[in-house]
Amino acid sequence: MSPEEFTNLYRGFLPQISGYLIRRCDRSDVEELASRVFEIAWRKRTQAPKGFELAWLYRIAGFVISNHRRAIRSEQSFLERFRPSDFAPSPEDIAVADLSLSKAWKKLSSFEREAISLTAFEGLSNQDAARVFEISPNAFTQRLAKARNQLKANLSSDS
Amino acid sequence: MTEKDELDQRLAKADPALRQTPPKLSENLIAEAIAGENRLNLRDRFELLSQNLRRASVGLAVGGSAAAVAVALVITSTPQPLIQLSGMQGARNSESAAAQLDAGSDKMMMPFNYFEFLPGPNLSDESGSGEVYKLVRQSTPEEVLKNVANVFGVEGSIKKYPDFAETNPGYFFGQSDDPWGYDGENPVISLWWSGTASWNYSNPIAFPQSSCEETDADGNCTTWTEFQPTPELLPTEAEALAKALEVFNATGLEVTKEQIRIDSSEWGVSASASMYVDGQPTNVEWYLGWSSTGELSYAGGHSVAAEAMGTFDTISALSAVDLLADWRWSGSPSGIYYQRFQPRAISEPAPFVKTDDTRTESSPSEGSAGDSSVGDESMPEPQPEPQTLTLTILEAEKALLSVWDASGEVWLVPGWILINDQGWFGAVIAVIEGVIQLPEETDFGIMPLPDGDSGVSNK
Repeated sequence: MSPEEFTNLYRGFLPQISGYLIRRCDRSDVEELASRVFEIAWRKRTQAPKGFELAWLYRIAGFVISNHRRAIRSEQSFLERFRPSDFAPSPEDIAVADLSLSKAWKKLSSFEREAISLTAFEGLSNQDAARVFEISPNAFTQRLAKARNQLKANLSSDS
Repeated sequence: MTEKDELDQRLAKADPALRQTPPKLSENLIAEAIAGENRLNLRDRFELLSQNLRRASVGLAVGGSAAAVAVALVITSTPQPLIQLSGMQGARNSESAAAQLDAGSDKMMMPFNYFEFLPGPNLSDESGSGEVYKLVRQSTPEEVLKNVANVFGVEGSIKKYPDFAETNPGYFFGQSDDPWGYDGENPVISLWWSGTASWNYSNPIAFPQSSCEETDADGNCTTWTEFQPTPELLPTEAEALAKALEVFNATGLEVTKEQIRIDSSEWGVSASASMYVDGQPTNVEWYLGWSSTGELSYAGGHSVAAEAMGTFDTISALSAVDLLADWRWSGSPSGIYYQRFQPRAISEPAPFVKTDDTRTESSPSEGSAGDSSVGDESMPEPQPEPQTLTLTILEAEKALLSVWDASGEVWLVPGWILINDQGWFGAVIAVIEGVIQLPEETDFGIMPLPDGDSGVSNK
């Protein structure tokens, strides 16, 4: 794929990537992280699944966010960079609007948070969201249902 | 209203994007990202270093360090290249002085600098020869994971990561049901069965957890637990050395205490050691770390042995200077060199070009078209002016560098550590070009996009 073809294909996803990142990082970091997402996408362009490029970009963006958070934490402690990956919107960001939802959100696993985020915030279909995790749509649907039930249970127990 | 509707409505209202208008990203960002393949800033390099650390792996029964099989063969030229380098070479091996010194912080967009390399008077023009090694994975994924799990006392079962191809799969060992093995509660061992077969141990509960101490009237957390260092919980250097030696030896690295590097602060302790091949340190490294709680929290190693592939002609240090500017000739040296050589600023800090501290904490309606921060996004940004910086190479040392080939295998090749007058270095492959086939250079020419073209939708 030439740079021109790559640009033509991926520039349509800029708003979605901006939206994905703004939910997960500081606004001042969005542009730089987006740049990193597209740098990686360019280097790995031959691996992009045709027709699911946006899901693939979200997957890359997730890893970029995860590394970014590690880098921020490692400013306090180098060892923090070895914490497990987590790239879903943080409970703190949710708390601005809904504290009880934030508390319930915090009790979810990182997978559960990201699964719900991709469908509720990014608006992906189950099929597309499954691509982000590279699992089958059926498996994603089941895990999303479980995540939503867990979130509801957490909300009930906190209320 | 159904339960699902209520949950979705609460989620929709809590969407963080409603409180911060996503910035409009310029299409130039993609063109710059494509062009950015050839240069890595300092942070990228440290991230790659971190990746290299995490890629560390075992040399199980075979003994990873010096299991080199000598081949008494001197080859001055080859009809076919021995190694076809990966196009990712520049990303994986990013030690060019230009990349290291073209540093930027998280909040500043630094101008792209051009670098010019000049040889100092003491560089030799003498060519030579050196051994090339291929790193061959050892044992099986199951055996590697079981051995490492035994060393760290991890219980569970082996699962395969969902996103790896059959030719280079990834696995993890632990009790988590998460497809990626991370549940934030149980220790997990990851293994990537490609390259050097690197494994990584991570214990999430070994890290201190933050909690909310104070909330405001609306229930929002205003004060989070501030982590305090607890150096009294950390192992002493002698204790760390002893444990590292035990773990490294048990996972296949033949190493002595003298070859283990200890890095400690009041926040934690880490130990690392290079795999030595033919008496030379490599960037195939094992590591071990304790968090501020004093718990062993992470570790890594490889399951690999070096197989000698023959002796090949090498270029002189003087000739290597000409290759410093070409990312395709860069290789990865041992972490020892990063301890020895630290960069220092070569010019005044670049001007602060762009920042955006305008955070829209208001409601969605307030963050709409009238929002000044949105208006600012459409304003043209000042373009940074590139500058040319000259670096003089004062000294050169021979080293074994690791490189990735196009099929995902890792090689150790003779290289030059070229130390510049700013105290930093570049690592250049010294093997002649006939032995190595370089990846093609990228064409950065970007055509302007036609007006009104909205791009391609994913749907």
